[in-house]
Amino acid sequence: MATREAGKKMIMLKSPDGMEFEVEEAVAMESQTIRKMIEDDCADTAILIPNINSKILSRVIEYCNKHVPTTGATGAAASDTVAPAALAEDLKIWDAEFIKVNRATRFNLIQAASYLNIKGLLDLTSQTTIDTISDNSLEEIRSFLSTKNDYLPEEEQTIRRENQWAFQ
Amino acid sequence: MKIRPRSYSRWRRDDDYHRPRLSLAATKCPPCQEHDNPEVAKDTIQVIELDKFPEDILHHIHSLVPLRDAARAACVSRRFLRSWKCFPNLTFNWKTLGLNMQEGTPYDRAKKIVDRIYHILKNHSGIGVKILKLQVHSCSNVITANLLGIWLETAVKSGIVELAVDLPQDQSAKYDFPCSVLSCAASSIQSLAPSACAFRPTIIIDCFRNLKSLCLKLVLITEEELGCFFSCTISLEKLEVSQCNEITFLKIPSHLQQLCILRVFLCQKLQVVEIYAPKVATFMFCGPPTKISITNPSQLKIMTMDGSFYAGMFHHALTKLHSITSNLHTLVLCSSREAFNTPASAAKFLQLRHLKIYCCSSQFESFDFLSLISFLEACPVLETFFLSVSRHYLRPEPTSQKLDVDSWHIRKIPGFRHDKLKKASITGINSSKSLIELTCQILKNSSSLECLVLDTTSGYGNSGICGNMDREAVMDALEGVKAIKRHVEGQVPDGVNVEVLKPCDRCHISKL
Repeated sequence: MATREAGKKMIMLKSPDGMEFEVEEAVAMESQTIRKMIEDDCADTAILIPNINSKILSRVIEYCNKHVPTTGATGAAASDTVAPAALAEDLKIWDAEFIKVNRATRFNLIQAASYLNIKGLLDLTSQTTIDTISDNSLEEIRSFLSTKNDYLPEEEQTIRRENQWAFQ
Repeated sequence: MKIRPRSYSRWRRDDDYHRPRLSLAATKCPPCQEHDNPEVAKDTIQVIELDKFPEDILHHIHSLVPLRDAARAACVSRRFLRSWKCFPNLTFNWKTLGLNMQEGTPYDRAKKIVDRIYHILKNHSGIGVKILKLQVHSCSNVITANLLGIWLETAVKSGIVELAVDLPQDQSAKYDFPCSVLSCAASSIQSLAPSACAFRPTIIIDCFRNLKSLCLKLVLITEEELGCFFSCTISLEKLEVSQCNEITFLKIPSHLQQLCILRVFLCQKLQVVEIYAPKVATFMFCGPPTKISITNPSQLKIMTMDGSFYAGMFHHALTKLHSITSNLHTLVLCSSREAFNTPASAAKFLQLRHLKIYCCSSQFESFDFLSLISFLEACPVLETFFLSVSRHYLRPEPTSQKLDVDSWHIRKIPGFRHDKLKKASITGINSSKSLIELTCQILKNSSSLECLVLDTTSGYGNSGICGNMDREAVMDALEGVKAIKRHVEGQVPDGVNVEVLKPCDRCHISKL
């Protein structure tokens, strides 16, 4: 149910566990998925966001709130006096704090960012996962990513031989 | 007036300081400690495993990893292997392929690079490639035309966005770029950059409707062939034609409505450039003074005419360019020799705000720098003027003249005035008399001048690093400081900030 508050159009987002979040349309439209729904006029009543529980959804909204372009009346980002570079720097620091979460949360955020199509959030959450791939042994990668080794031993031998250069 | 040493500490940058540390601390610890608070995970958040991620998210994450790490990750599980087989960013060079350039002979290294590319492409499905960059210019005698053909056929498919082929140089006759592979990529490709090969698109393949950037470097292509290729493109925004030595007449057609940046570098046989594309805003040219025409010059805002290896670019600019520079804001000129001093010019650059002039060889010793005032006279709204004299090459004048700083008679150009110039900078200023005269002329007759920087060092751009100066150059710079003190210091009008940079004590004075 779209309502108006202080001249700003509001959108209701609903998580599968029954929580409702009222957010500014501009904030919700950080998600390309929701933007499309709004543009297609499918957003008259509350939008149900499947597979994303309230805890994750609230974090996603927190992210969008911070990253909505400066015209939004949110936090320091709205200030005209802050130089763009300083603003970007501020966002970076904020992002770094934001992503200090446990792995389960991070994976959920990746899924949410992917479903909701929020590029910045997807890149931010993915980046952390990439670093685990970049710096560690295969066993460590498997353990960090909770992924199983489903190769047969001889298969793994072959594939490792083919990519031997990457281990040197 | 401030005289200060060029500081050696300015080049330290604090980039790393502010860079957010996203992850390492969080990921180095084993799972389920510290950051993985099991209670939080169990209570409120369902733990999901990467294995359960949709394939496209996994591909996305995998695609962000550098090539070498991505290849290792292929050994993690079958899902990663599937993802590796359609890995989108295939940028091949010695760095991405994890090669140590200090190890082995050039031939060994070339062989290794080629082997690695061969294996990766052999196992790649050819699907999903967005970027293919073969940066293999160091692999001469190892890459065959046949191999190149196979690689391109494997990886260049519909969906590719960027293709760059950087082949061994001086062998451009050896490789024929197989234009036929482009036909399946025509609709998706946005950037194409063949280098050091023959590129002969004689048949019209298809419309490259999304091609935004074309860069031809050391490419054998005639003007007819290039024209033929242009006829298949509509959305080109950036074009570079560099060292394409078969072209004599470069015609940029009018249907390239989006073309905004044009670069033409060192095409040996080039005689004429005709630009019919209506929106070229940036034009960079490197070569001898050449006939250039633009049908609609009103969009042209930034222009570089680099005659570093040739003579006469200043003269050419002042006498021949005004017809195409009606709206120009920024002009950069380089020359290595001027047969004549710069003439007074009746034609004006009416919109020019920023002018940079580089004198880049030793052959300016008899040049009268004071004659550069003609440029200021030709640019009534100029705001910044930058002159660089490559002092490294500039032979000091005979000793008898040099020692005589005190007795110089400083010439003046009667009637010269400039009302808009705010900032001027002369780099490589030494005790050359005409440079000091130019300085005095600007200083005294520019009513809006706020800042004048006189750099007696070789001034290495914005890096702030002390340029390499030999003893003679340091001596000459100090002589310059002396001449500035003698002839400039007393002339500084109120409200003008003059800054003199001298060789820094730490790097240079010890050489004396």
